[in-house]
Amino acid sequence: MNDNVELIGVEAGGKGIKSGKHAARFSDRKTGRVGVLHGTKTFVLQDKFGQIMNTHSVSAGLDYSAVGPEHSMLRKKGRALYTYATDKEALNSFRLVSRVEGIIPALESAHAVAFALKYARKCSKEDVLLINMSGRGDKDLEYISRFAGKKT
Amino acid sequence: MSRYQKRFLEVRKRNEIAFVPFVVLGDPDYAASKEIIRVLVGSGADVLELGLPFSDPIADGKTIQAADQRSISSGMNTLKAFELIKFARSLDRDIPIGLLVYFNLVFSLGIEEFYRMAKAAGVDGILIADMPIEESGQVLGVAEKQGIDQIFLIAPTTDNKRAKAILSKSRGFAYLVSLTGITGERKKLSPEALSLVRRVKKFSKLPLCLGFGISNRRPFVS
Repeated sequence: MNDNVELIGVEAGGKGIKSGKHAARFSDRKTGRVGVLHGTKTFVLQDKFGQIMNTHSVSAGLDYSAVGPEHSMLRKKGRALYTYATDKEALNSFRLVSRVEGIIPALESAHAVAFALKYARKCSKEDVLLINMSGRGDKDLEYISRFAGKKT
Repeated sequence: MSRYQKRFLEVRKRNEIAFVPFVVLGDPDYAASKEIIRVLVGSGADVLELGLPFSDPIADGKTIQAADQRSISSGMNTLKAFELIKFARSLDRDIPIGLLVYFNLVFSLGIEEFYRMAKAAGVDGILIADMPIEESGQVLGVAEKQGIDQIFLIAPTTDNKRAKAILSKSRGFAYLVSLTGITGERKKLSPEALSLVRRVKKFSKLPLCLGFGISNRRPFVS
């Protein structure tokens, strides 16, 4: 908690925050606020009265209205910053990492890659960037193949 | 004496069991829901159990999920639901009214504000389906202050020790879940139901109401 490593979380921006079709609990100020869903108190996408909003993401693992409560805590403490990557950015990163690194990332992890690529431009050569590749994308290949040959 | 106490005594004196119908507020829309409530109150319901529709009703099966969706789609919300309860109360001063709700709707409005509005609308009891007793500290004081009975669920999988702990926090009545599963129609009363009633009856000072999967009166007339 107290070291000087910067932490950045990347949520599912789906088709963009304004579209409402996303799962970015921290980035949508209109609908993301503290609630209780499935027994967990954390940031939840919800309407004015607490009805849970539908979500969208290209990655099934991120397609959920609430965020893990640890993230709400890290954000509240200012220990981690949160941003998002869109479906399109995640899909592009998925291809890039597969092609360049020979690693098929999970679509969830591809969101982190997408943001890391942008963030790297602001870094110096001495900076070290670690990306948590939280899962493998073999599971996503069937889904991804729907987009094969199509530009996204 | 609370409305629940009074009504359950009356029912017992008649040597009957209470008829406690459940409907979702605002299903299928506000006007029809009003009419449904009017019919229930006028047709001999002993106690009303009214549900606030929720987008993610984890304890409910297809029937109530669909009812919740119809209600929400027709524009129902917490404030309009309280208006409907006020209407129910205006029809009958004595009928106990229970409100079935999921916690996020209470939390979203604010626990104090929710209970205050519920009381003002004429609610006697509140059951928060997704709130175990361990998390109930935050509402019990507020409920007591408002004079609202907090009701909890006891399931066939609840052992006696836990059932007693639940009863110690319960007011009004204890809601026995007739089966291990979600709400919705069943062909027959679950075999677990009767043994649950017999078991909890031994140590409960509160009246017991049996819910989930109660589809018709047949099992109860004999």
